Amino acid sequence: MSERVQKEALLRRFEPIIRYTRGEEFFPMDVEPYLERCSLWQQFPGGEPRCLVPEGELTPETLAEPRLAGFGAIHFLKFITPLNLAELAAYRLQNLQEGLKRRDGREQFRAGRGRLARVGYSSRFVDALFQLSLLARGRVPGDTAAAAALEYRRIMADEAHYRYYGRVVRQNGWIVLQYWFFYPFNNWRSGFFGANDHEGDWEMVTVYLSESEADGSVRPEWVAYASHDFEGDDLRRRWDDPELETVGEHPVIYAGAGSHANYYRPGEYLAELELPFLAPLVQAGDRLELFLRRTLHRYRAADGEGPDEEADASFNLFRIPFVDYARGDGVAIGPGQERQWGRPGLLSPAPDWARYYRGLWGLYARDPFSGENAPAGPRYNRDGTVRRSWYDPLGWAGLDKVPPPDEALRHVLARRAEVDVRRQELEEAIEEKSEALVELGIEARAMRGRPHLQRPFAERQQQIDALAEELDGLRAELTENESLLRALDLYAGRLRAGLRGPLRAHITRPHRPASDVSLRFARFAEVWAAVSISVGLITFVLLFLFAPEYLLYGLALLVAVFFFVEAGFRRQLPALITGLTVTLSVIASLVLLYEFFWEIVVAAVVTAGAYLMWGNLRELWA
Amino acid sequence: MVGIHDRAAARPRPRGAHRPPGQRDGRPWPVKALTLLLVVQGLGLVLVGLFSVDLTAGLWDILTESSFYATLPPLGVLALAAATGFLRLRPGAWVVAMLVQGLSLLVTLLFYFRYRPQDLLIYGMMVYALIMVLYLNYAEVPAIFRAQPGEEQTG
Repeated sequence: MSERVQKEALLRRFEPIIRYTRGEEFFPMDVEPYLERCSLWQQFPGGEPRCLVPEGELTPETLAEPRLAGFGAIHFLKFITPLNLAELAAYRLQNLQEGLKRRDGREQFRAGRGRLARVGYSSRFVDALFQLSLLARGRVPGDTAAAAALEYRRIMADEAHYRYYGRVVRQNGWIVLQYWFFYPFNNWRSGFFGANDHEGDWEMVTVYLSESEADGSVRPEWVAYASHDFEGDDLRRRWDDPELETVGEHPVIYAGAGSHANYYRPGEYLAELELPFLAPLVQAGDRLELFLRRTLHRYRAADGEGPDEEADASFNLFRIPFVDYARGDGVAIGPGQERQWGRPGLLSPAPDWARYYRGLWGLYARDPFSGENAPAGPRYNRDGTVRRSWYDPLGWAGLDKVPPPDEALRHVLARRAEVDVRRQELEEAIEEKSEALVELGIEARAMRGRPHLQRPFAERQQQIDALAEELDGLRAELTENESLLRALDLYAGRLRAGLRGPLRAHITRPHRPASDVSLRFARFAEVWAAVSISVGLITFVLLFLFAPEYLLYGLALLVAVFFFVEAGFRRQLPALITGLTVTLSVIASLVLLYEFFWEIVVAAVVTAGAYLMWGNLRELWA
Repeated sequence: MVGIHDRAAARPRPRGAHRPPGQRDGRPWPVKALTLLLVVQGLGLVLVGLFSVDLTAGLWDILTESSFYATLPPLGVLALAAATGFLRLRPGAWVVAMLVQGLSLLVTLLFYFRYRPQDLLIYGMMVYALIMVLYLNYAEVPAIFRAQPGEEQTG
């Protein structure tokens, strides 16, 4: 069997099943028909884009051709020509008709509880800034999603297919299977109230296999799904982790609606977007949160265990929350599902289009936050550097420090032997140096009381101090080594017994679906969440225009009303009242201190004196 | 002072529940003290408010010219309501008592920052409210009034 066939067979054996949310319009496809409908462009900083290859002439081969360009030049594809008004109306009408035909609503998306009702005012305010910033930022035009959907339907009408690209690499004893999914469009913002839209979307999941030394059979050990906001150890799950759903040997992915981000469990995930200009505030917020949790031992109630609790508590006010709907109630693609994968494309060895084209796989929208710019290909980042997930697929998921299970025992025993050798060295050194120390001590004691030996006595004393310190360090290292040896022995014993240790100890931030917040008068609370910031801004303007003399009081009253209403919805009125009262108490204390400083000092001294006298007299009479 | 074992007995009773016949008054000492302090605060606020406001003036004049004193009687009534709640060990009484202190401090601070008065009543009210806040947050007091799961919640 050729290597290519072997790789393809391995990829097919563990190929994932993807479950989408109702209303998803784009699915993984072959890059070729996409490229046929694209043109290739070049953009210099501050210049106008220049078309290099017009639509209809672009192929994987022409895409890979070397192109010289100055520093700062960006190559990008352009998939969509925006619709005119008539085309857009026709698209909307077609969608409406299809919606009416499917009365069961199977393909219809309903947002459910709004994201703004799940977060507080700061996040809503930052969100309002973000929405306004879309007016100034470059972004994918509003009708592009509709045009992309129409174009994708045409492609599927020509040849319906669902395709992934696979890569098989070996690293540190692991066999790594990477599954890359190419989507023609990401309509998270326009279709599902998310953060961004962009042309072209590459997503990836990885399956890590171990190979038996005895018979060469392979076994899945870990999987890692690329997802928003997560990196390193937090990306991967062990194959036997209950969070990972499998059908036979196929891992199940729940794809975010429009965003196509990958999740292990179905649900609605809060993805946090960080605006660059708010980065200092975000960092300050993170530090404050960490300080409150660690220093003041302020923990939030959580239903998880271990590190999950801490991780779940970290929500920063200055990040914008967006809901990524990964409900898995729509189309499913994969083995045993209603739609099947076609023959996979192989990325190992990488074809020329993946190896040599470093540009973007869709429109360059000149968005400084990059959210609306298309991503680069599977091998590259947007800036043309190679992705870590490509050149170091183990390190990308934090697996570079973990050996395959069959090799783990060998590694442990080898490390144990090294530590044991060091232990013997330490014991010998300690014995030798202890003897030397005793001899120095004897010499020093003999010199004591002999004035003519003052200088050598001082020298001996220094030598004794230095040697004692060195010995102390060696003994500490020996003690540590003995503990390490014991730990390695126990670990080797567990490995021999076939135990693999805790499933989730490596995870510091779990992918946990957002819990449904408990709101009183839920419907009204959601409406309030949607309009509160706008109402606040309009009231501010009205106050400023018509009653500027009451601006300060008016704003204070407005803020107070807003906070009380919100706290009422969230059943947090007692906490709010307590917090405000304590704050007012602190201010009142400062006022009293300012007004009656000397009186307070005198009273404190008199009280302290009386207390001391009382204590002393009690002791006297006891 | 209420002990750990007394706390369960001193938990607020749901509305309508009655003490078993023959059981003595089970209210812990801090609850009794706070009830008394709230009654004193309530009566004081009502009386000061009523005696300082010219009741013959119109409502608008009272609200605009004696706004500070006009707020005192309602606050006093709220304090008396909190005292009643303390007396009956109602779960929401602690929050109402804190609300009284918060409003009392807010009113005095607003008045202080606007007029910088030399009136000792303002400072006296501040000190009284501060003492009450400290006492209300004395560890055992909130524990007595913390609602059990399934019990009536405030707010």
